[in-house]
Amino acid sequence: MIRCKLVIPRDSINEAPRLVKRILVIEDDEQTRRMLAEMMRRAGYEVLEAPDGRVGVQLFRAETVDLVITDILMPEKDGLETIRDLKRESPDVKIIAISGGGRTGLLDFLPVARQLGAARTFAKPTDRRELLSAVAEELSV
Amino acid sequence: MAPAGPGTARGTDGPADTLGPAGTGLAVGTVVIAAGLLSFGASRILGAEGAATILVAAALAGVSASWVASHRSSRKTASRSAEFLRLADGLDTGVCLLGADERWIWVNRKLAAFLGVSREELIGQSPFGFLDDDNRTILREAIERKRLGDYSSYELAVTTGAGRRRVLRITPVPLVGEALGLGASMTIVNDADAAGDDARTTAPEHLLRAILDNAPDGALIIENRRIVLANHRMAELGGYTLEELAERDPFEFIHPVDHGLVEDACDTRGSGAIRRSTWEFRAKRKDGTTGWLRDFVVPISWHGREATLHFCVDISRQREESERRDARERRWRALFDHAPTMLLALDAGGRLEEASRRWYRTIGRERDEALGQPITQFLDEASARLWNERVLPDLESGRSVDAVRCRVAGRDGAVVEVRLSATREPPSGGCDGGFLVALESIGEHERLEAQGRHAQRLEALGTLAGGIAHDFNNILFAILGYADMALEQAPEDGSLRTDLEEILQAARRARELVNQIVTFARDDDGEARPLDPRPIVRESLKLLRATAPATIRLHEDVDSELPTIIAHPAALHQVLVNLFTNAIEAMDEQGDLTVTLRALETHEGPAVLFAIEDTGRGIAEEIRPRIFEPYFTTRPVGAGSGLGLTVVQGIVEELGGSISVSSTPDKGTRFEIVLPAMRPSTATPPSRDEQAGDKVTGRGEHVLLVDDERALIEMLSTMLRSAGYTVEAHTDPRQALTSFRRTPGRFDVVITDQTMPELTGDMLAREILAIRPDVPIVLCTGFSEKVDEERARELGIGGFLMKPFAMKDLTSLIDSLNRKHATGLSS
Repeated sequence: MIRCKLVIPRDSINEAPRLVKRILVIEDDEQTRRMLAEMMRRAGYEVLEAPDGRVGVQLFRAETVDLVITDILMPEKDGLETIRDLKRESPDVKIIAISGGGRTGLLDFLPVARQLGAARTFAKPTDRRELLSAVAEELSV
Repeated sequence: MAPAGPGTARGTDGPADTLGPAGTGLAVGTVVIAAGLLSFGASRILGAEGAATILVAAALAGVSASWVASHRSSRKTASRSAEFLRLADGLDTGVCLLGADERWIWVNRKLAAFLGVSREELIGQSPFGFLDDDNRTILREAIERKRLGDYSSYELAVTTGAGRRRVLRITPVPLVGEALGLGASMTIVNDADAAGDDARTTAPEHLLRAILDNAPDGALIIENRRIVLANHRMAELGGYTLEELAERDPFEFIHPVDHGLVEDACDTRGSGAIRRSTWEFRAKRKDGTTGWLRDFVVPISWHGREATLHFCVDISRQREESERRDARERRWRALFDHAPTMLLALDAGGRLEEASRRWYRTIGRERDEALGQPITQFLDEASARLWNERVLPDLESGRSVDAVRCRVAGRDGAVVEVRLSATREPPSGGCDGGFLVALESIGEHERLEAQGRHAQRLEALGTLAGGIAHDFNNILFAILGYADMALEQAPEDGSLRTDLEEILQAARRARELVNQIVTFARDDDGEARPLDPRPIVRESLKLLRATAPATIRLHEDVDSELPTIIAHPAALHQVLVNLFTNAIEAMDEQGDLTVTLRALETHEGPAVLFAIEDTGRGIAEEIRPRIFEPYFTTRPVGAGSGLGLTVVQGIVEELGGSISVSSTPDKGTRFEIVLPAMRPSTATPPSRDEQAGDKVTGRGEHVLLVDDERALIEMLSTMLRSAGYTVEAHTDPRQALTSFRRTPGRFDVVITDQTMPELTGDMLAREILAIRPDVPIVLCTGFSEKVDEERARELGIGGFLMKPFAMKDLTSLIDSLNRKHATGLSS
């Protein structure tokens, strides 16, 4: 059920105002990514999925995205870099960062993510209701 | 009549007693005789009969000597001994064996005839009974002389059974048996009237030769530095033929080093007595090698001239073995004395029997004045009590004691902190047993080193836990997310719904557990708290001094009065280290780094200013606005993360402070951080211990750890052990209770979880306190459990921790409880 609407030309989307909001999920853990995508779909959103920051940024450039949910520790391009690049390209982008904690157990990345411009940050495992309400709030602003 | 039990002694008229001392069992009897035989070879020869007697006996001596050494119960030897008795019985010279109680063990027929009393009557009797007072004194003096090694002959007048008075010439024999502790001595008795010079010259040489040739030991006669007679065995010992020995100077066969010894031993001039009867020397074998011989020397008369008769045994093996043993002993002794640990051997009463040098150095006393003193005398009062009340009972019930912390009262009133380990030495052989104790001093240096290692281990564990937690959180996220979504679709009633709720419940539990482990491993609670910034600045500078190039000068300018700030010590440390690193890097190994700490008044209230100033190359104006950006770096790729200043800014802002920078290219850079001070109303200055953020390290205290969550208990015990505690862990509280009941004195602290099936933590605590009311207990509870701190205190539980807690919280709590406990003990 992975639907990546890479094929739709950018113009056609811009012409017709979209009713359904689109969320880009960047997460390297496949099961977690699938679950997050499924959670968002069931909540009525369209979802794009990317396995790391590099693909995520590419998708973001190619597609119209209303909100980004990104993990922090990822190969290729990690979440902090991704947030920085996305914010540089479109300062208004709404980003929610989710982290399973630093691998060292000593350094916490979420404050840095906030500093870089993430609107909300959550620690994994995140409560579904909290996450969904944060998504809804960010999208309604 | 009651039947005699198996243990009842036989009547005094039983056969065992009527046999008399000489017959009390073959074993004892033969040993005594063997000893006699052995020494017989070393007896003095007085006349022809005497010479024959002695040589017959000497021929048997070797057999018996080796028998004593290795074949105590040999049948062959027993029969040889019997043969000796038969031979001795046939002699025309009196021979007797005298026991340590100065009663006869055995006498031959001739002596019995001299005394005119039957042999059976003599055995068990004292020779003193045949003497008048004067002669008793002579015998008494002779026995005394013999004890001092003087075996010279003397004469005694005896009154025989028939009332006749006879003079006997007595020759005591130097007895190896005495040395072996067998307690018999041998005496040759001759009728003084019958002994004459004419008898001495008639020694039948062919008889001597025949006997010597049959002797199992080497034998030779030396006269005037010339070998006049040698047996086959003697030749064999050195690998020679008899011809090669005949008429040769014995010194040719003796190692030059031992020549003096031999000259001394063979010198019979003047007195006619030898100086030594037994001695050992090195002899040259024909193949050029050297072996050790033990020589029994007897001065004899050879064709009317003075000569010496030698019986030689090859003792090379024993010598080598004893040399090896000595070397081993020396090695152990050196190890013992040079060990950095103090090693003590105590007797069963806890008194000092032996100790390594370090011990005497530590207590500042000489060995002689310390030996025999009870160990408690060298401990301070509380430790002496600990020894008596806890250590000793443990040791006596067969358990070893490991790394218990004690204080030794050292030189000049100094107190030395030590870790004491001890074990009981069970009685064995003739030893009563005792205790073996090792004391390891916990010097300041060692303590710091241990702390450093502890910190490293914690960091490694923290990394591990963090890594596991990261992956685990992903997995749990998936489980929780899917289960939650499924739950939304599940019908209102039915088992699907309850099943999913169970999954969610389990996943939440796992989340709690991961959270606990991560928090625990983080080594601090991650929360900001009131602290004095000075120790942290000082510590960071210390670290910098150790790592920065020596060409960079460090300056410290700190206000003496500073308000307390609210910060997280590790985070503040990180801020300083990041800024220091940048400053050092900017200075290219030359320059000054100044750290300033000032109390400050801002419009928001009191604050503390941290200024870090370097004399480096400065920051170009155009890049200055970007320095706090993540991944912005002026360093080459791979040389830095570009996150250093981002992290600094993040931390400072989290603490409610601000950071600013001013810089002049080629002149230097100054970073200023302002952190708000704590409001005076809420200010409670932290204790020194807390503010230093030091890692409290265990000193071998025994911890009883109880938690039904296996993953957590494994983590906890690993970390407690690495922090220096001795841990006994249980997942079943009932087992923990059983263990405590068995040895209540063993534990220094009990740490228990509250929520456990079968027995909750408070119930366990109550049971334990009923057994030992003074034991410190730490109760760990989750957030919403029924036992709170107040309730715990009511139960008499000294320590209370809310989960999740950090390792540091736990160790400092244990430390403070133990300190309280120790104060209670010593007061």
